Amino acid sequence: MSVSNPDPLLSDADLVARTLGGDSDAADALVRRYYRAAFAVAMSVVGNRQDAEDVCQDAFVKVLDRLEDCRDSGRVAPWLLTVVRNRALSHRSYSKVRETLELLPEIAEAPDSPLNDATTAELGDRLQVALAVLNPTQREVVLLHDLDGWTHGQIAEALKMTEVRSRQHLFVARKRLREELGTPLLREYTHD
Amino acid sequence: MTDDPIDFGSIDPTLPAEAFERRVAQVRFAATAVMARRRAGKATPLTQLFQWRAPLLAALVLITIVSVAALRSERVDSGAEIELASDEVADALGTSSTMGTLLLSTSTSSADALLGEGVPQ
Repeated sequence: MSVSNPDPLLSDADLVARTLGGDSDAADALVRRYYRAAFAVAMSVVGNRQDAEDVCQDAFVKVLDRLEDCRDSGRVAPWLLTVVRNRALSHRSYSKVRETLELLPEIAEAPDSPLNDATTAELGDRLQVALAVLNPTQREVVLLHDLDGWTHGQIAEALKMTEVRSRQHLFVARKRLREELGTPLLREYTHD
Repeated sequence: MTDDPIDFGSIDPTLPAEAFERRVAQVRFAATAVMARRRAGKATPLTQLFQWRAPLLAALVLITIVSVAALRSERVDSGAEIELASDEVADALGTSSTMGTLLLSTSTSSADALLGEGVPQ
């Protein structure tokens, strides 16, 4: 049963308050708002999309269950990403699939994969392999910045680092990704 | 150009939209119990009292039944004590039970009745 249809422009604090009151629509809005960021963090740890999706689902259920633990409801992102990161680390530890640790791409996508054609799937696989050359922090920074559009200020706050450090990580991550992907593919992966 | 953002569209979990909606629905389904618990916990004192009306009424009915039973038992016990007392008085005085009853009664007995009891005819 939903209590209301929350405004997408509602603040994190409002969404958290409504979710704590049992508003399923507010909970949905929180999931939608932070899904990409959660995916970025999960992907940085587990290294493949399918596992990252599984981690996201588990993590969001846990987040909704333990929302009282978020001390500052106005800044839910750092706490949420910590939950996601811990779930991803746990998932990786217990995973029996060694390819996960080696960040090898999954060639055969699951039926509910976001990739809906062969070209997109191939690009995704290449990106996944390229991401494996980065360290986890570089992956988180570049995915949060370039996939979800976070600012360096937001990244710095969520990942507990300075903005300067965030910029350095982004610079190195992009440089190494481009080296890994190669010049011919570069045009396909970058905005112009 | 290192400053250009990388296009991660091919691994964007929110694309395509239909697949993303399924994922959100999966999270919603998995969190059904959590959200139901939150809705239940949101109840006001009045609604909480309303939720407790059934056990409260059951407790009141039980208390009533036990009280009525206890009162009835007390009345029966009290009657037995009075009867026993009159017999004891009669035994202690070495008279008949009629005399014992007369001594315990609140009504005034006539002298004839009292004397007639002990006067040999």
